[in-house]
Amino acid sequence: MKILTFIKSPKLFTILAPCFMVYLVLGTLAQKYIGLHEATGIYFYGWVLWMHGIPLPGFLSLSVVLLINLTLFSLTQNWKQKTYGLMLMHVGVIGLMLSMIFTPFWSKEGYISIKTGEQTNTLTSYFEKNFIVKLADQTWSFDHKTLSKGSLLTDKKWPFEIRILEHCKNCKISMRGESKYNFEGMGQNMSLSPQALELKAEENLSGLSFSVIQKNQEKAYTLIDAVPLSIHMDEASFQLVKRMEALPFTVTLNRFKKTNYSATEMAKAYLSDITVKDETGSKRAAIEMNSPLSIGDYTLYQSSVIGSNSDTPVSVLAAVHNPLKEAPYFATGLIAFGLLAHALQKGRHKK
Amino acid sequence: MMRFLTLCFLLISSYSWAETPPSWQYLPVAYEGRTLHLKTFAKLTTEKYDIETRDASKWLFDAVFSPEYSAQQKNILIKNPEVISFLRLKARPDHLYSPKELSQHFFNVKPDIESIQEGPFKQAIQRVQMSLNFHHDISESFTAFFAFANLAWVDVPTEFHPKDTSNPPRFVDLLKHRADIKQTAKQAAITYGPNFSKYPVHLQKMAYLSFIMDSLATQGKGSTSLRIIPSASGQPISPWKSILDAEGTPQRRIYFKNIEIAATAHKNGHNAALNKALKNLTILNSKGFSKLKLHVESLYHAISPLTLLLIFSAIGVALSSGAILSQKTLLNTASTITLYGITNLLGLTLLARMYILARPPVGTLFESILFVTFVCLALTLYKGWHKHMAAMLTAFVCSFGLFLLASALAETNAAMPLLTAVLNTQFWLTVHVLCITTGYAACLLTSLAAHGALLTGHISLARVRMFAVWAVFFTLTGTLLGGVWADQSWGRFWGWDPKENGALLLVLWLAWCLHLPYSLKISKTMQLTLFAATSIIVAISWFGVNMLGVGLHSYGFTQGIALGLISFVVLQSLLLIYLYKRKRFHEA
Repeated sequence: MKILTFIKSPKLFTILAPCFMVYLVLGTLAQKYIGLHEATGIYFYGWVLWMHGIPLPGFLSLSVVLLINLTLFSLTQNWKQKTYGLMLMHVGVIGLMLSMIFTPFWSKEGYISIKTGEQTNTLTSYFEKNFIVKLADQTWSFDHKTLSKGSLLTDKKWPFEIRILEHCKNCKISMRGESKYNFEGMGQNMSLSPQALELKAEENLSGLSFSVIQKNQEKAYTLIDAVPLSIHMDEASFQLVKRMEALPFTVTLNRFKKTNYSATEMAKAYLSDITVKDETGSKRAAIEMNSPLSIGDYTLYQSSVIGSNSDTPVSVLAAVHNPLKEAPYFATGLIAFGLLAHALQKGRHKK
Repeated sequence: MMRFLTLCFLLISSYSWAETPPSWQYLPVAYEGRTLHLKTFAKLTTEKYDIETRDASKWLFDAVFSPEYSAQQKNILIKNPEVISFLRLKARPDHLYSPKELSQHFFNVKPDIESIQEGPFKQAIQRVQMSLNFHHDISESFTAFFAFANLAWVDVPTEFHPKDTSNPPRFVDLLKHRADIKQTAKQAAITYGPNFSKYPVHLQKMAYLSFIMDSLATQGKGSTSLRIIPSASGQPISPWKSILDAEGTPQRRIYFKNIEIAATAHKNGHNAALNKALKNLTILNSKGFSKLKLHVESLYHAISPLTLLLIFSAIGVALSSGAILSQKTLLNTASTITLYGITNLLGLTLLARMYILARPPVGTLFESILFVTFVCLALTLYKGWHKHMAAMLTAFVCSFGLFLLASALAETNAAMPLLTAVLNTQFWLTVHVLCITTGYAACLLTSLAAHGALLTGHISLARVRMFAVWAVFFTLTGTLLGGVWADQSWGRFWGWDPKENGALLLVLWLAWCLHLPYSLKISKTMQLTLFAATSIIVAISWFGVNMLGVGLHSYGFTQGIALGLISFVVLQSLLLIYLYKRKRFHEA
């Protein structure tokens, strides 16, 4: 009973809040050195935080504890008129935390780049890269980040095995000296070794070297994502590419417009005039900065442009699939309303 | 008597012409997305490019109408001794150098410049280069309308002669024949080879003419800053841009005619004609925008409000300190008047910026400081806290510190930068940024009230908590609205960006302080000390995260305030330790 009282009490929050603040500071400072993507993964989206080999509860674990604390507190409190603002605010925070915990698992994001007059239905990931193996008409896809040096990849349908010889999220390329492996192609001269990650995750040069073992024969190859070459060996082919997936709709870029500030070359606004076509039909729409387009659970945003002064600029649209996208809006409304009610009520009480 | 009056008139008129023609100052020029009076343009650009001059309009006038004279004037300020040494210049007490000598020295060290590594030194060199380039850019503005230096009409084939050849030939006189001249010269080169002397006399003239026209056009191509001629798209462009891109409206001819008249009148010393031509250009250019806006911006830059605010707040510190020490009513009244003056001037400054930029005055870090200071001062006056002399002194000290910080952040005191496309939204700037900056102000007031409570005991803990509740309301709502904006523009509500984390840190801190008495036995003094420490969290959240230089909020990145921030955190921490111990001692 004592434990339950403690779990639902503000005391638990006062213990957790400094932990959150410390993690926030550490995670923010870490971004300077390892970039936002890596720092976020380590400090804010981890269940466990490893500090010099010591396991500590991760941000997500602490968030779940706080969520339980807030939920129990809200359920067991008397909702009096005097405190309803405060209670609403707490419920809003619960909603916000739920969306914060679940969104990373349920959402996915990437980009669509389309040239004026062309169409696409491909969503390309910003950071995720896949090692693709194709044999006959079948394709196997391996998440690059789950592979490591020494990994052995096999499949019943393959007449070969693949062993990962070199693997790096951000590779340093150097001249390859003598090797015990029989390298072919660019791997003959290029050796890959890991180096510090770039601050912008999309600037990392991912790569791997692997050997294909078949009937006592072994051939080795090197792939880097900046050179999306396909290596062919007999009927099989191998590739390292950014993860791509098909969208449930097609986007056509009719026109792209960049508006500059008067007498400058600085962009004031971007506009992509697109046509979206899916099973239900097609519709024409405009996407601008701060004015995205929602298509089902997907939302398209104007992200950037390549060759804005050319005749056929390439518009880059960010695409996010998030079934929980409305949740933070409701939570924000509840928190703001609850806080305002509480502040006004407290002010009246003081008078 | 008549002689005396005539002499006076001549003296006055000669004095005025020693400056610039009146119409020159009010010529509308496009600059950074808006239109300015030329005198404002001159002031902003000379400040930006380190050009030292008592009269910026005069400097610009000389650069445009007398480029050779202007190139010899020592106006470019170089204070960095390493740069002076690198350029092989002689150190001067006034640190001023002429564009002509700098061009020569830059030419001599050109190979060495490329080998300099990126860093502060290279930036300092590039800054001087930018000043020099700006001078070249401006001094080329009207060269198409000046007589060629080494060309008379006899050197020009007669078929290209205009009706009136009383004035020496100029680029614009031959503009419509340029394609023919080039083509003929090209054909001659194909037929007779590169040696001019083998050409027939007629073709020699053509080749020479083509060469000097191309040379002038090449130099003129870099002249883009003095944007006074409307293009077909409506965007103002420079005279050379209008000539070379053949981009212009039928009215272009009228603009060219007036520039021709002005250039000729200046050369011949016909001041009245010069002024009239410039006036005509001003009238032609004064369409499609608010003249009042031009005057407001001219006034804004003329009075440099931030400098005035700094001076007044320093005076306020002296007056209120004097009032506390001497207990004199006169000093007290003077302090109150100064505080009202600062608040009103700051309010007018923000209104002027809103009017000029047509957006809420919180688009940059610089503006957010002004806005937060205004909210703090206005609330101080509205609530009558200034009646306590200690509160008045605190208000002056804080406003002086914030104005000092604002002036350190602005490249010039009056920086009015353009906003990137993602920030160019009236709605979100108003809703999110106003809310979060009001939250910063509420946090500072919470901290100040807690300081006051620790120092004097006149302010209750309940009142400080009340401030904190409002601070939580504005910061949390502002942060969440920022999340909604991020969701609308970047596709995610929360991305753990340093700026977002800073705001969350502030909210968590305030929430923690507010929850503490419900869970721990904590003394009132400790609570007040923690609330007072909110200023440290505000400083980290507002400025500290910008210094990391990472994340999507790149428009807020700041450098060069690390020492100031660390000093503030250390001094504030020491002050809080002292206040806590002092209060505990008194309680004991």
